[in-house]
Amino acid sequence: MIRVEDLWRTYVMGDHELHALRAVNEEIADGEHVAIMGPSGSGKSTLLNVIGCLDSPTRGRYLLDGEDVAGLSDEALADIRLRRIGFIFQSFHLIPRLSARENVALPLVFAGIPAAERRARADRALEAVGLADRAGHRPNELSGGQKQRVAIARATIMGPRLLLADEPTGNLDSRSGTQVLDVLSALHREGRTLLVVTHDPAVARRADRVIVLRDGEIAKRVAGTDVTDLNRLFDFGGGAS
Amino acid sequence: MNAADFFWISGQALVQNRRRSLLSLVGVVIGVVAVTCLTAIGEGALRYVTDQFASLGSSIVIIAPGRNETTGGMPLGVGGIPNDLTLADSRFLERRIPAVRTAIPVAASSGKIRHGGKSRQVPIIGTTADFERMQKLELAAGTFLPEGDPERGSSVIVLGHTVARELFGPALALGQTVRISGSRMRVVGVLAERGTQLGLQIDETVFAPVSTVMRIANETSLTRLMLDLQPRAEQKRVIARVRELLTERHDEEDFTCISQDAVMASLSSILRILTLAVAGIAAISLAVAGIGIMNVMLVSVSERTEEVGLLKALGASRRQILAIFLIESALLSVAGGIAGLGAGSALVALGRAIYPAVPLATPAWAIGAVLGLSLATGVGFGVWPAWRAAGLDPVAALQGR
Repeated sequence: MIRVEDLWRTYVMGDHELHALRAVNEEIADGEHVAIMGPSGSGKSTLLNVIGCLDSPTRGRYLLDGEDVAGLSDEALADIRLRRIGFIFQSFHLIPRLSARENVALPLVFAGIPAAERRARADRALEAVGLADRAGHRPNELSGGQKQRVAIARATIMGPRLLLADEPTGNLDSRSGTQVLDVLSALHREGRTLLVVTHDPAVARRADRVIVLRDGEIAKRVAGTDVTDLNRLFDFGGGAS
Repeated sequence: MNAADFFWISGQALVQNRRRSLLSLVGVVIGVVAVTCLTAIGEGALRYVTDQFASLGSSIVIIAPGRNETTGGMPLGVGGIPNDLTLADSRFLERRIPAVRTAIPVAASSGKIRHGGKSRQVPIIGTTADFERMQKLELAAGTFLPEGDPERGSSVIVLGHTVARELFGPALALGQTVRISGSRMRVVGVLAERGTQLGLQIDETVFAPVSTVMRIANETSLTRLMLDLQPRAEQKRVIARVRELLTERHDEEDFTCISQDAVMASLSSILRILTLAVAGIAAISLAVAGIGIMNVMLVSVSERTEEVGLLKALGASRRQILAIFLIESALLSVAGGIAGLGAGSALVALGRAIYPAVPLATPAWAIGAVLGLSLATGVGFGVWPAWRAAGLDPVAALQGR
């Protein structure tokens, strides 16, 4: 379970402060599928990074499964990212010199799993995303959709309960985008909590519910099925477009 | 994460940037080659000198006339003119000190040797038959100086190889007569070709009985008295005994004793210090190479900022990132060290083939030191880049900032 209370993330830029998140309160239950939407610069990615323990809040509390992560050491945070959280990025972030199998197995390396077991587990994870025959290929030999599926296999290889995806289909055509979303949906159905930052109403519609951010604050909460077009969703009734 | 995994990840990155990795190695290779070769030359010189001494085989104490020390504030002249070192002294010491196997008197001079129309200026060594055994001389023809009383100076001479060839050509020198400083001498032996031994050009030297040479040169004192000791005799104790006996006999200490051990020890220590000094200078080039490695690693860290961000997002700790980059620079420098050792050894082997007289060899301590130094270089100069990588903010790093 994720719980954030009065969460602030403030950047100091010279002599003025920029509030990427201001007083965010939210609770996400285990197994939920939540989309985070909002215009550019509204703080979507910052919220995702804080929840993913990549960034730490300036003020407020973040409880992950009831544990306050604020006081944790670098070592402990790294361990949370390793075992309890899976990241999926818009630009895939695969290491070009490594094969698909080696990319998928990277987290296992940091977890100290022996090489033979790494290989077997990476192959199973690739099979699960339908890429068993691409295990030996380098990222530049794969299509965009294939790359993102390799990235998903990597995000899930340590069996985390929480998956965080930042614009997972942002760099994909609609057909491979749909394939990727199907894989994510399947992972959600297996019981994982899925948090997706997106601009795409089609992606948000798959979510149970949608959090809409504006200027670092939660402006709206709607059901996934209510997302139709962005103009209506981002119309906050206050003159902002 | 175990050691093999660290090496795998770090090695992957180096292989990816082959050209850059190789270029940064060059500095280390040059530094290591320099250390390897220079210490090999130093060690070669040391072994050369040691071999020269060892070729004498026996244990020798040398006595020279005159005191080559300051007289400790005594007014000039009070020390007196040194007494001659004589053949009687030689006999005396041989008889009185049991550890002395033979005393070999040496009178060194030089003169013009003539035969037919040819002449040549040569060093003349006056000595006894024992000199042949002590210096391990070999004869091409005839015999060395005759055994017997050193006081009885017969007119015989033994020629060095070159001298014999120049005076007589291919003709037989044995039994011929030569003139040396006005005296007629019969050639009884010709030495085999030998080369330089402890500074003496044996091939260009002639040998005659000691009293003959002293007479020709009008000398009353020996140049040197060499005491050939029993195999297990202690040089220090022999020197002490010589001092005691000879001082009593001459009423003052007007001679100098040099032990072969002391000469060799001081030569060795000088050569060792020289070797260390040049190796140290060469090692400075390793520090320069370290800066090259640091530069490459800094470039590598900034190029792989995104990758570091990713590794952190995937769960790599600060310590693991630090280790990955440190191992990368250590791998670089140790690879350079090994390549440098290989290249250096090849050069040393080449040098040995070209100039076999000097036994060039990189000493074991230098090999260890140079490998240790290159590892230290990689780790030392890799700390800053690795620290920068480990300290990157993952969110900014993922965006390539």
